[in-house]
Amino acid sequence: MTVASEQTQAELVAAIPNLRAFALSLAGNVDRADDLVQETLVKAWHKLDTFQDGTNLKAWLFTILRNAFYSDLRKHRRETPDVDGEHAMRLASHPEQHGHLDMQEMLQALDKLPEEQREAVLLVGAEGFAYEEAAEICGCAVGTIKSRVNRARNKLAELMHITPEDDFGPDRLGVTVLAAAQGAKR
Amino acid sequence: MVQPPVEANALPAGGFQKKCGTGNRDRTGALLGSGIGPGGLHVAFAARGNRLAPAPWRGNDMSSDEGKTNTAAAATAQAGAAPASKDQNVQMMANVNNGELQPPEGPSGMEASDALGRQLKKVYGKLLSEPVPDKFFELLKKLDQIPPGGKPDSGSKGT
Repeated sequence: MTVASEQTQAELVAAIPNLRAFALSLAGNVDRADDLVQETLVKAWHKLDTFQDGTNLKAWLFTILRNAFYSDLRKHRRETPDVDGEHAMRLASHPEQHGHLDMQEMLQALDKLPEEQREAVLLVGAEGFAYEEAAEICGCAVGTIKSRVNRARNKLAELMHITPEDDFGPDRLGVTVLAAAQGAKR
Repeated sequence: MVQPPVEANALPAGGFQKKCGTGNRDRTGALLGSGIGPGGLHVAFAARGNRLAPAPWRGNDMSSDEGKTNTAAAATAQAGAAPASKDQNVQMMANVNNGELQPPEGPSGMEASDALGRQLKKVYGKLLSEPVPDKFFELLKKLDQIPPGGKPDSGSKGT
């Protein structure tokens, strides 16, 4: 019998799809993504005694995966100086892997974002982490995450020709003014 | 003020996992294209319930039938458990960063009710519903031979 609780182990297994989805979004390549997830699981396992039961295992795993990704990226960039556009090319060259058109469009739009914006919008907007959790994972201030998410959203909306509805769009003001005007009439 | 209806997939953390348990078999394989049989992911999620089944990589038989029957129960158990643990998580994060934080915001931190958020979650949800390749269960099974926190390398793939 091992030290890790059954609960922790089950959570580890349950987090694999999320880790793979996040890794794929970061790395843009299935093989590399799976390598990252494997690396994360091995590292997590060896550090599991430092993890406190009852705290956020998923956020902890994401932190490990993210660190692994950036450390690989730095290594890779030292070895091969020019990797600009490589990520995009890989995504673009395998359209059949990504099935649906809306999916491909979203992945390509995500790919055009700067890395720090992409991870911020994925963690908060897709994975559903709170800003505070995303800030922990990325090792930056909450305000930084908020602004990255906002910029990423604006850019994605522009790339995908989606009108941002509530928080940014002109509609909000318009509707408010309209509602106020209607209220005044009564 | 116009608020588009919140879709079923606009869930807080934990929602996608629950969705995974229901399995979108018709869509799987399109993206990660691993072609793994149905056993893996379902068994994994069966182990996620409150009454935990043995870790999937421990059992000798990874019977896909067993995985399927347990899936619904596991998903239900998760649905009940998710909000409590989420609160805990937020609390934990708030404590860690005490002082420089504003109060935690909504569960997703981003309005899920707009078109972009829905689209993003939909695409990400498809990624999440991909079956987990067996190699991960094999890895965990190997890791399970050594105590957590034990010496590195004995369970790694030798990179």
